[in-house]
Amino acid sequence: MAGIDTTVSLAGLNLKSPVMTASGTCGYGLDLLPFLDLSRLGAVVVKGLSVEPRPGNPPPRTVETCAGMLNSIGLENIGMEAFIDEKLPRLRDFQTVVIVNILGESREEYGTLVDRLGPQDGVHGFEVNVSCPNVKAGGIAFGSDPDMLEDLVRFVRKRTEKPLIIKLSPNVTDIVDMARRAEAGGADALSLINTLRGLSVDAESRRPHLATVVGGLSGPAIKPIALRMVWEVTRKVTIPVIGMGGILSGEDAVEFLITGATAVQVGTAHFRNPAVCLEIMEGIETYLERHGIQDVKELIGSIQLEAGPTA
Amino acid sequence: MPLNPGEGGPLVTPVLSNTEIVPNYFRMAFEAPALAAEARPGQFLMLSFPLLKDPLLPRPFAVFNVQGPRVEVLYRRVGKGTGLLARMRAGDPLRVLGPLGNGFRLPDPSVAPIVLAGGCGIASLHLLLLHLLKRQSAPTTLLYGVRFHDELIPLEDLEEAGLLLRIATEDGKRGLKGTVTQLLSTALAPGASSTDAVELFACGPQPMLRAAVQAVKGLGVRAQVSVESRMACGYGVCQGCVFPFHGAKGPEKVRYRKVCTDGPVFAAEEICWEAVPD
Repeated sequence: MAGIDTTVSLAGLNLKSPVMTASGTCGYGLDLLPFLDLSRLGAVVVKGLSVEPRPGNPPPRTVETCAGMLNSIGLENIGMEAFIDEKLPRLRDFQTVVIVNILGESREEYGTLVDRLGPQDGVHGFEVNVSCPNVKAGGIAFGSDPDMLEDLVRFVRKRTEKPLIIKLSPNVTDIVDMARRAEAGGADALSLINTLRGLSVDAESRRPHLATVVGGLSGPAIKPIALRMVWEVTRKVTIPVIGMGGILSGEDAVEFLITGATAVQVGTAHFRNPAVCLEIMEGIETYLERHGIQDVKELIGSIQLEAGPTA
Repeated sequence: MPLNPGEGGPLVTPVLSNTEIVPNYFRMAFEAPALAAEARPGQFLMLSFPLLKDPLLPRPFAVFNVQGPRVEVLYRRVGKGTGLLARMRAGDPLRVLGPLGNGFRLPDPSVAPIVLAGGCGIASLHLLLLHLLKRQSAPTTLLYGVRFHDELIPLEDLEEAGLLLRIATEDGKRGLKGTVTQLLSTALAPGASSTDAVELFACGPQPMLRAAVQAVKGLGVRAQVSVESRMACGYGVCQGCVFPFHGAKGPEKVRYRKVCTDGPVFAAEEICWEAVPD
């Protein structure tokens, strides 16, 4: 729509729109090509990459739950070299920001990923998945221990000048503490929330629905938790936050922006509609028009606390 | 994967009809011209409820039939999603993504196809049967098994087109009292077929597929199976629907392939059946 400014900037990146894809929900971006032009998106966050390819977990890997789903894909991915050879050259054809999500089982693996991917043309920034277990620390997730998290962020920060986004796990006692530690370690931005650990079991057979028993919950079911965390974190850190968790519509995205997020990621919604990002972008513009707002940035953090809750 | 070219996302289209043809089995039709023109036997669609957040995810359904611009699916009412689907009336909106996946590879016209359907597996085989009956010079046989006789979908149109139909019911009220794999053993017995060139096409519950694959093993009969798996997206991005396959590095090494974009039809011998969850 003419006249409306939908751009946002974040971690030194200029985004055409606050709408980005969430890692792990649209492959390496290219899978969406039959449905939409990637150049229209704010950014594409590709599926989490590890140094070596990962085969993923045994099936069943997904189950639908009430207004959501559990997944236990096991971080299946093609590995950084195959990404550089097979996917990145095609992604360069699009006028969009490409953010590479990285994951490792040791600090050194994250280092290797950043060293190798950082200099690549077409990689505009990193999003660090810190929900992986640190094998050297007995399998505790990087993102669940404040010291380990800060150390990892510092370690990765030293090795790249490209924008560094830390994707926080909600499976912690104090998300604000984690956010502060990531900021202290040198993160340029935070994205939250990753999936919440959940379980689904069949009462008749008494068997869990996932082969790994526990999986990550996503979808509209987690939206209020995500909004609460975005609100808490944005009040306590100065770096921008990318909000996500159950966004299906433009209105959902607007709620995250109002609560304090500078941009949003769309994940599970891709599974029911591969072109959902376009619908969400349109929905945001319709909202802005309806409220006579010229610039989407005016929404960021505009939550009205004094007026009290609306009915 | 061409889908509503020019429109971007999946089609939202009204239901035209939704009829319970036998208890708990429904035939649902909607208009989807691009999809109707493209769909091949064995391909599938993802159907979802555009106005609801719960159920959130689309469900996969085989393309049962195509008539002009109309596409039909056949489904059995089993859970929450199909329960809601069963309550849809003409005019209600449906989100449709497809056609998806790779369909059956059609055999040489001289081959005599044996088609094996267990229960709702007939949904994935009906369009295939229509094609086979048109193009094969050798007779096409359908071995169709259900637990209860009242679950049998009427197939008179196919019989009129020359289909050889053999039925097995576990309640014994129609056809053979037993399972469809017993019918298969008979059909595969030496001298049972007038032609040597036989190929198997199967869709049904996991135990039936396993038994069928076992039955053709060593007979030199090619078998294509359409498998089912829980999937969230249907177009390759969720990576949830994987099935175990024999790896390149020997049979002990399992590798995963996606049912949605790599299948749902596979050559039976490629699947690592021991690793398939029940």
